[in-house]
Amino acid sequence: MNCEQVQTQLAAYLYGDADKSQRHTIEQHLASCPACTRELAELQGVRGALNQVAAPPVHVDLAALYRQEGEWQRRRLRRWRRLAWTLTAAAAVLFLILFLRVEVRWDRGEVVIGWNMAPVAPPPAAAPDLTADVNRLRDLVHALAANADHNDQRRDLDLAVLEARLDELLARSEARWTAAENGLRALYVAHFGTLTKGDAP
Amino acid sequence: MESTDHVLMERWRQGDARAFEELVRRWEGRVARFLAGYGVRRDLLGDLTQEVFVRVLRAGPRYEPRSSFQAWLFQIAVNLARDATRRRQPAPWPEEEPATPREPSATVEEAEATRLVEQALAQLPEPLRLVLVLRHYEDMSFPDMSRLLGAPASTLKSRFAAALGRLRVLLESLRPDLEETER
Repeated sequence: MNCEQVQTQLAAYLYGDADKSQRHTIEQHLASCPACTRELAELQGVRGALNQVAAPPVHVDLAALYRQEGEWQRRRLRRWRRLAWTLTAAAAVLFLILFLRVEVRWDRGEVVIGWNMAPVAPPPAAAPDLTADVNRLRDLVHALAANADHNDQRRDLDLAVLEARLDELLARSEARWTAAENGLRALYVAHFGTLTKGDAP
Repeated sequence: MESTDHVLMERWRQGDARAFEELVRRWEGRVARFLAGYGVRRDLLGDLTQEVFVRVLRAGPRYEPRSSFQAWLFQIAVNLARDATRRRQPAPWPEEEPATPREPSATVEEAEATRLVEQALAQLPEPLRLVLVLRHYEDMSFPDMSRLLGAPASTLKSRFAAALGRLRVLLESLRPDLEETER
């Protein structure tokens, strides 16, 4: 055995867990190996340190222990009783539902409780009324078209009013322009005496 | 002649309350020391040791004399210790924890040595610490430990060797003069 192998077995050797042949081999190695002997001494030091730890002074209070156990048993019994009551109640409810045909349901905003009820047949599925749907769709399209026409008419009226106002503004501005032109011409004649072609204004 | 643990268990199951008391007195110190070595805080040791015996009381009817009483008892203790250390983080070790002697005869040095060893043990990984404490303080054999922890004995032996080696390093780092004190 080399040092590495011996050192992995020193703990077992120290605590008497090595068998006779292992012990013999280790002791032979230790006799000629100061490093492993030192290692063993260090482990013995650790063992000594562990031995120094005093057992904590703990005293189990038997009376408290029995009280604790009694309390636990009582809690357990209460839990079982609660469980038994719950199961009994659940079984009773199941019995009422299955054998007395009790029914509790929510109908139009109120709770309805009944017994000996015949099973409620589900409402027949409504047949799809395609004609009504198509009619509703047609009405909707017409309404939309009428609405669009109405909007178009209003838009046309607004446009006509706007055009009339624009024409009126143009006429007014032309009249003002003509008046201003005449005024300027009169001033020119008064100042220069005659108005020749090409002269301003 | 001192009754074996099996005999005491049998007597207790037949209604002899004194047999249970004898068992408690026989094992309470060892259970407490195991819990302390495992890393349970000192202030919780009393309650947890008490809890171990409450569980023993509760599990008594299911006790099988085929296995060793020690392994059965420590199975309960290991489970509780694991729960306790998982639930409650260990209190940080104060630099100057009052070195109150645990027994009137214990010296301040002994208390300090105990504190250092427990501090070093607490720093070991749980699988190593568990094997070390069971082997050293409980003198539990590796086959018994194997049944208790559900790991092969050879694995546990390796863990034990590793634990001892790492504890040495930890103790050296915590108290460099350990060797001089020990020698």
